[in-house]
Amino acid sequence: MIERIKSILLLFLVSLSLFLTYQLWYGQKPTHLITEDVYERVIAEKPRLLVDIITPAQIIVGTERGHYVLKEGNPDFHSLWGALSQQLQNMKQESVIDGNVSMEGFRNLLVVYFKPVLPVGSDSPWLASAPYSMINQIQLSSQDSDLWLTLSDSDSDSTAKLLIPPDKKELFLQLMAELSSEERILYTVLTADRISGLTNRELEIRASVFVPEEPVYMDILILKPEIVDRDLILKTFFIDYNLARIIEEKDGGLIYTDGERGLRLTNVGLEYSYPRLEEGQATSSYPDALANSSNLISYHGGWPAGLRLEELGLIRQGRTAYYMAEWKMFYQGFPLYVNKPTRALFNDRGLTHYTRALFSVGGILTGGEEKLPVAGWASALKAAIKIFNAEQPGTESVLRLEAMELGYVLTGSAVAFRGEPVWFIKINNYKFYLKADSLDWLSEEEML
Amino acid sequence: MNLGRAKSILIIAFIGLNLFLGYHLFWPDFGRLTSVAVTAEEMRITEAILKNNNYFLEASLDRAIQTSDFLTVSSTSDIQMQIMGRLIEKGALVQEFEGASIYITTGETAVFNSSGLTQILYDSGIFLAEDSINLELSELKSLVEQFINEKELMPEGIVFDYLEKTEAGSMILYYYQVLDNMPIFAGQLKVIIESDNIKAVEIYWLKLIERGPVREMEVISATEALTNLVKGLGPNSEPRMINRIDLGYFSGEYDAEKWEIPPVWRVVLDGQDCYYINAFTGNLEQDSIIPKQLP
Repeated sequence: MIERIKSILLLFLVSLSLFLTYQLWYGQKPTHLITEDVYERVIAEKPRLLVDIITPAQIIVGTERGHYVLKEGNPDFHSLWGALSQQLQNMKQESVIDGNVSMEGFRNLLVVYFKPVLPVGSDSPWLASAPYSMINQIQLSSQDSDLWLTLSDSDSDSTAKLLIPPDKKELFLQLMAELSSEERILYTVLTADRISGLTNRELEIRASVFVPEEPVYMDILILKPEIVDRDLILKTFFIDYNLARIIEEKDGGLIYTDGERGLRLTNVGLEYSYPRLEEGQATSSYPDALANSSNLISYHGGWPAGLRLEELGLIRQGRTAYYMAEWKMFYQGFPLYVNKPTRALFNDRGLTHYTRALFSVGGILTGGEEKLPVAGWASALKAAIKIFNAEQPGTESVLRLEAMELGYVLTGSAVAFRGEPVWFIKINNYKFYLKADSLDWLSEEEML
Repeated sequence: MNLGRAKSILIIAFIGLNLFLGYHLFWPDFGRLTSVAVTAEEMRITEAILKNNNYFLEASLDRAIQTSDFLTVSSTSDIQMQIMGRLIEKGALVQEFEGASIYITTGETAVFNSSGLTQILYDSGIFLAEDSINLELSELKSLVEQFINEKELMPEGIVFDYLEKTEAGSMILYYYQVLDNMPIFAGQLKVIIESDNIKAVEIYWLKLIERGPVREMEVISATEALTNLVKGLGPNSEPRMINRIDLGYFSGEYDAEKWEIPPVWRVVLDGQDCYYINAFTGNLEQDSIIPKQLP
């Protein structure tokens, strides 16, 4: 009997030793007591390459009928910019024609405006072998049978002329022919002559403002907020979000904070803040800052179609400096204005502030016959000047028209969002949003 | 050798082997029970860092390894309701100002903030005792506690914290909250005394919604907390005394439905300046990290 017990005990001990050896070999961790500290970068999507970060603010196409304006979200905008971008990437410093080129017989086919500016030369994919410069305008012109590109430097009045190789001409001519054949709304450039007599105050035009010459009809849009994957977005901000505590706000918003940084998630977007990093410097170059901005928006939510980088600037405040990047959504070439823009502030130490509230079109509230007729540009400009005079009496006598375009503003309620067509007019740094049909002023308080 | 004897030898050998394997396998937890979070060497290094930056440790440190978790809390309205009821009975005039309700009666004004903070101001003060500034602390405490009891302002789980004397001659008695046997430094009752009169009482009290043991984690050691505090505050020109270092819970005041509060090491400098080091992250806690509107 005792031998039988010994055998069973021995068998048990052998089995136990095998089990313990297995556990020891493959490692057993008391995970419930020790926080997971493995760092793994979680991102919403891969960042865009530099060639895909910058798109033109507008492309003005000159045809025999007149001017067309193409912006982000317009059909043909990306194919035209894509062809031009590819051409600039393929060109070398040798393509730049030194010396004076006779302007005789030059005919402008299109003008491409950049804001933010396009980095060209070393450290950039465009004209990589050329000296570094920042371009705010590119013109495509024809002269006899040649096609020319004229690049304007944003820091100086200098320009550079490049001759498009004969074998690449066809592509551009074909694109231009396609654009000319389509029915589009004609635009005109505002000049001093065109606005004379509109107002009894002196008005200077400080930007290239193109306004529709023909009747425009716009829809009221049904907008839907971007659905944020809360779990994923949390992981993109907090290395170990076990350490982040949750604050449930009375309005349903959620705040996550680890005591140093905070992330607020609402039903329409998010706000992030890391105040400790504010005391920093921004020493990265403009192309690096562009790449950083792409990284940030791609990591923290992604870069959806229709979203355009509108601004990238270096801001100095006291002893600190930071870059500010701002994005805007576009629908069929019209920008969507919101009260809280999608914006990132960052410096050499990292992301200090980030807000994101993106809306896409979920439907059309008006359509077909019900489309809103848009008031003409002259009436809109006069209405804006009238409001400016009433709101800012006694300001300087010369008015500066800094921007004017059609777009949408986000209005409605927290559960039903609408895109209201507006005229956006900027005079002496004051922004006015006028309802496109009635020209009633929409104050920023009425915007969401 | 017979088979029985061989079995016995093998049994002894395997018992030994299993003990060896078990020790190595469970060593981290055995170690946790037997070792300390702060070794004598770490203690010496911390004291040297403190001394180099002009901080001097007067408090004793808890050297055991400790774990903790988040607490889910909300501000309690029980005390507010009690005070409101009493003031309405006295015929209070009620006003609203920037989200706060203000109840005004003769000689007494109560401000009820939406965050849960209640401030009761006595216009001409309530007499406490002659020469109160020179009273023994125990006597002062006893008089103050008698007052808050009579005024029905005594919340549950109240513990005296410390007394602050200002240069202007006023005194502030601080009490903190104990919830489920844990100090909650965010919950606070403050009694302000000026010229022998109680001028104001402030109450911010929390109620426990949930304790989250699913996220139980090991907290940083007291020495690490002290090192982080010195790093955050920087060196001092004048010597500063570290009087107390306690593990508890703390967070800022939130006008929210409910929120989680983390464990903190609270460090009291010079008897009255409190700093809170997050016991999970080691960060110096600030009042509010809630995202703000971008510039």
